[in-house]
Amino acid sequence: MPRIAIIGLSTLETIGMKALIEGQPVKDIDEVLFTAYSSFSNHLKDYESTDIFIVSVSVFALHTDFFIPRKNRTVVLYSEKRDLSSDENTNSSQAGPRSLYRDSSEEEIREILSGLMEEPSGKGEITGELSGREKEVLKELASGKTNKEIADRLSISVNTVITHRKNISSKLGIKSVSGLSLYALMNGVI
Amino acid sequence: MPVYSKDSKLSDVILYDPSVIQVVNRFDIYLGVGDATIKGICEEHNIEENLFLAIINTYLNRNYFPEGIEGRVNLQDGLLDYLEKTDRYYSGILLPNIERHFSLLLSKSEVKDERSNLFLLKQFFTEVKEEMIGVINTDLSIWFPLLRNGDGLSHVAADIRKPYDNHLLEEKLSDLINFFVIHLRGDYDQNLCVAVVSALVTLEKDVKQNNRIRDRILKPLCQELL
Repeated sequence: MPRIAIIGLSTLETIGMKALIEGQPVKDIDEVLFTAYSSFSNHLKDYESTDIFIVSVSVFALHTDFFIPRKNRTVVLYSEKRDLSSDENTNSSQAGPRSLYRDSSEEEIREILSGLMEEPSGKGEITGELSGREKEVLKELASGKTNKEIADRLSISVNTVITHRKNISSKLGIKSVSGLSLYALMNGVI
Repeated sequence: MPVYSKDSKLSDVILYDPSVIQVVNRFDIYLGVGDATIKGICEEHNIEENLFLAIINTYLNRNYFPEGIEGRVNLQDGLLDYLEKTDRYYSGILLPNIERHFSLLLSKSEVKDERSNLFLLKQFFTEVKEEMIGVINTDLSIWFPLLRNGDGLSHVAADIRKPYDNHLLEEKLSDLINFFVIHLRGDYDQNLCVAVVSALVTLEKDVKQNNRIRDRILKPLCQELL
């Protein structure tokens, strides 16, 4: 079962992050470590086997060399409210780590944590394997539905659909709707 | 990445990245440029030097922005001729070339199943090609004539694609290449696969660089007219 490390730059930041994550009904978590920044930064090697990192944006920025190779098992928490226009941008060819915001809904937090749980135990490097939820989103996309229609059909938020789309594109290297539909057809998803 | 000036030798530019040969061809400059400088070549061929430098540098360098281009060049200085030749190069040479390779690959592979990778990829390519030909036809029959008139832009209906808004094609071309590189399944003639992928990469690279030229040179010049 996965081990999670939650790391903020200050104790206050870590407590805030802990409050955001706590109470989420995510199953199968082995151990959650609320880690002091000094302990993390002085003993990076000890954290190499950690499965999931939930870190503040300041910690991420200070240790990009550590987190970028582990971007598929890292969630960055932003203290600022989200910029919805950037959420709409699905063109990024290199998906970064998952993002949570101060105003993220419980559902979004749950979706992101569940998504991390679905990553294979091989530490989340890009494998091309789609999770069950991503396949459902792909199927709906390939049938020509809009983000809003997919959100309604799967009972998730539009932002969650956009996050799934980014992850699908990142895993497959395919960004256009036509390309994703073709992939779905080739692989028996539709 | 170098930024070239009027005193740079054109041969140095071409040797730095030979794909720029296609760009200088669109100005009717061909191989065998000797040791002429850009200034000298532009004078000889009656080309607006600022436009030539802006195009070469924007094509080669993704971090280059020809700031203030609208003050040094106007739309009648040869940009539209350049873009028209680029469009004709895609429709007359690159797209038929890819199609030829693709058809040969399909015929050698004896694909019968309509859900086979290759058959579906050919369909995707046909979709991209038709979209691209549509964009080119709109350029040649609507946009460029309007822009040549100078005051035409203000009369253009809002539902016509803007002449510098071409990025979805880049995305689809990139997807096609990724399908071959990452997702291709089956036993196909590898030489012909490589020929298709190489031709797609050439087209994708040129479209991407040409879109930078549309974004950073054509767009500010059009906006001057609005």
